[in-house]
Amino acid sequence: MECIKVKDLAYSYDGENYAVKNVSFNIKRGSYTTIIGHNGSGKSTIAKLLIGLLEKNQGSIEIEGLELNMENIYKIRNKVGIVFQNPDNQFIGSTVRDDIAFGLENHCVPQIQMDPIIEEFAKKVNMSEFLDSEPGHLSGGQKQRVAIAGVLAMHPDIIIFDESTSMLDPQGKDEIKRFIYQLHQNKQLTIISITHDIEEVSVSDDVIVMNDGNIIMHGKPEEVLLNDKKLIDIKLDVPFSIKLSLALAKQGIKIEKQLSLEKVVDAICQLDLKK
Amino acid sequence: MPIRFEKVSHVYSDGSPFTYAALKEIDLEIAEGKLTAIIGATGSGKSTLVQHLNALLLPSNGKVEVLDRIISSDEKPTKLKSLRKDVGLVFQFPEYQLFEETILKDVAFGPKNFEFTEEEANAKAKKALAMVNIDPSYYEKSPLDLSGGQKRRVAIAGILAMDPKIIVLDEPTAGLDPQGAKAMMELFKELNTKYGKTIIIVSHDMEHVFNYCDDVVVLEHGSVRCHLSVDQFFKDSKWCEELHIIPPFVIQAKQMLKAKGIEIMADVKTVDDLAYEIAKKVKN
Amino acid sequence: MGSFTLGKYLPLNSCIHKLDPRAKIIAMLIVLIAIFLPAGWLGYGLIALCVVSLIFLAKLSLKFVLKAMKPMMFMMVFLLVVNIFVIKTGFVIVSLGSFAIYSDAFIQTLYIVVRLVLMIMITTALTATTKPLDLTLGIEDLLKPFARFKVPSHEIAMLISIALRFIPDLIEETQRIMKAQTSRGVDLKEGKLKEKIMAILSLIVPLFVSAFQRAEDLANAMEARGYAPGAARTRYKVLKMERNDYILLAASGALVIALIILSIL
Repeated sequence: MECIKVKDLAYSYDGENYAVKNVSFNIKRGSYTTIIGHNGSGKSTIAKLLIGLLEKNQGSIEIEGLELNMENIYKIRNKVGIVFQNPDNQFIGSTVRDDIAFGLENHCVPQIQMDPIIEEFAKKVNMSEFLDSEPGHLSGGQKQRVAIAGVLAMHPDIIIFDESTSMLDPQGKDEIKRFIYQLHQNKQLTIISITHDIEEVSVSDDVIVMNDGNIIMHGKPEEVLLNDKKLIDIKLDVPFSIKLSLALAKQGIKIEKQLSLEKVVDAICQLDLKK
Repeated sequence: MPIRFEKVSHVYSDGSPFTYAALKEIDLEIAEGKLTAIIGATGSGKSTLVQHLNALLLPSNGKVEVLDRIISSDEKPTKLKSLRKDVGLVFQFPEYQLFEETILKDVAFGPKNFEFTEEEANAKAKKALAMVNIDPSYYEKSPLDLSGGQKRRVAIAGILAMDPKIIVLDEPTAGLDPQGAKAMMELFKELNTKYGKTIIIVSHDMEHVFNYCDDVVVLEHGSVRCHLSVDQFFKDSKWCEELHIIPPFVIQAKQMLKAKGIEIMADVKTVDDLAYEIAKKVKN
Repeated sequence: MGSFTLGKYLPLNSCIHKLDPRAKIIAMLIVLIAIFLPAGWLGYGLIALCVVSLIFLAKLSLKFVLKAMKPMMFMMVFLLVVNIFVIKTGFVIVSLGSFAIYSDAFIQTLYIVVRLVLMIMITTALTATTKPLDLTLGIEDLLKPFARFKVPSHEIAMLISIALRFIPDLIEETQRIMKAQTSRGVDLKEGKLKEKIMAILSLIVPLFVSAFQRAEDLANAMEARGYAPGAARTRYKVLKMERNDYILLAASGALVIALIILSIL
């Protein structure tokens, strides 16, 4: 069931201050997990550790039954794909076609098989029309879609989105978010998304809350987000629906806390209102 | 005195095959002393528009009046330097403009360029750093050692130190976490109310526009689609629908309630205002 | 920038554009050797004929090719001046008191200028008809046999292609930083020397910082997608020699043989 097992993981960039401190968690195969926390809370460090871009100081990481170490690192990178934050700095090829091909080349896919694969995955992310476009002529959202195609083309078991929408405009954010949801529904992929978007969190299966290098909560969004006191304590955002319930409580109106605004509105309608 | 755009057009690479009209005969008056948001889809001309305010770009046609100076295509660039002192322009991701060895030196760089003495420049830098809540213990640190949010504050202080009358910011909260973004917006509100600065912000975030700004200018394909007060803009749901904008949550909640027959007439800004208005409707 | 045509790619549709970059690089090298053979004016005439017909086949305008000479103009004039002072053979053309200009000064200069012009023409014919990336691929393939001498042909090619990929981004970044610093009162055109130095520093330092950040991001992205320097990988773009490529090679071979014969005779 579990495809990622992390135990007592710790990492320090400078040898003094730990960015990740004794973190343990498991992630279920096929689940969609969001990781939230302030900038500098250790979220991205965990992502880089999971894919072996940083070498852990202590603890263990097991991915699909394989221990992450120098020996297994390439096997693990075959299983885990990552989409980073900056759309420009992860576009390696000179055109969309070449960029999707880059990963295939690294995995020694025979040249004659490449074009059909490239076309298949470009189509999946709705970039078929832009196969020969250069990155300079694409929007941020389009570039991120190409990055996703490049990752999917390697058939990973796990895909990590490291704040992949944070540099995009609202339209681009929306495109990528909808795509992540779709991936979660269609495939057996395990998805980990590092995000600041509290609305995205509320539709995920599990959420990990990080603060100052520690995991302070890990559970279903209903459990975690309804624990508003703890979130507000570390100055994290809570969903608007909860803010509204809390504000109503201050006015003496008790409404059950909900993740969806619609349900809160429905509950308000059930109150004894003046006509 | 307001900022006035009169029939301003801006064409990039005129006469080449790549020619592109980013602004088309813009007529616009931005009020003094207010916090104005400029919104619009990517490519609608927002960045081009704001770069006219301190004459980094000159209009291809028409003229811009800023602080009793006129910017037009035949303006001599030499006269523009003093305008850049009075109109502070903060680019997107301004932390990339930091370069000095110490934070204090970096912030004092702007005033020094505008002929202030070393002492005057340092005094202005210290005042600006205090405005953005950077502690004096940081003065001698390298700006490159700061966290992302702090770097951005220092970069903004670098503009504030020139003591501009108008501050223009291009997506100042991009890439910050929600808490950092909120603190940033509160800073701009304070600069506006406490120090009387005219502030113009290019933004994609409707919560910020709704909660902190007075007026909103919507650009679309290089033209002004509408220019309204923020309250008017969100009151009429037609604007958000037509422009494919997801309204702020308070407005969404108000609209949902209205759809269920509960209409809240008062203008509400915060979730507490909204709860108060709902409570008024509840019997006892 | 606009008038600088040396090394610029022109996206036209010609039979020369479609040739294999390897064939074009080898042909260019052969012609360069031919240019250095002492085959006299007849030889140069022959090379010029070939090069001009190549440029014609590539649909390049002569104006474009001549523009590429511009940066070399100063060098040529300088050469002439030096030769006038140094070379004292041949017959006297002009004499001013004790100073005389000899005919060989002109002939020698002309020799070098003709060679230089031919060299620029042939390299322009290559770079204008071959995409920089294809050129890199060609170089990579041609360097492969040298792998046994530890020439990292693939790494060199990867380095060049990534540099080419990021040049437009870095130009944009430079313009952005320039505008940001201009907004802080930097004047890159005027000011005292000290101010100018500060102005340049205010541009260079941020550019370096952002370039390093980019490099780090890029290295992470490449590694995460399974790139390992030195490891075996396949290649998407495969070069294939066709009939026209062999014709080009044969023609350039014939040219160099003709010139060898001319220089022996």
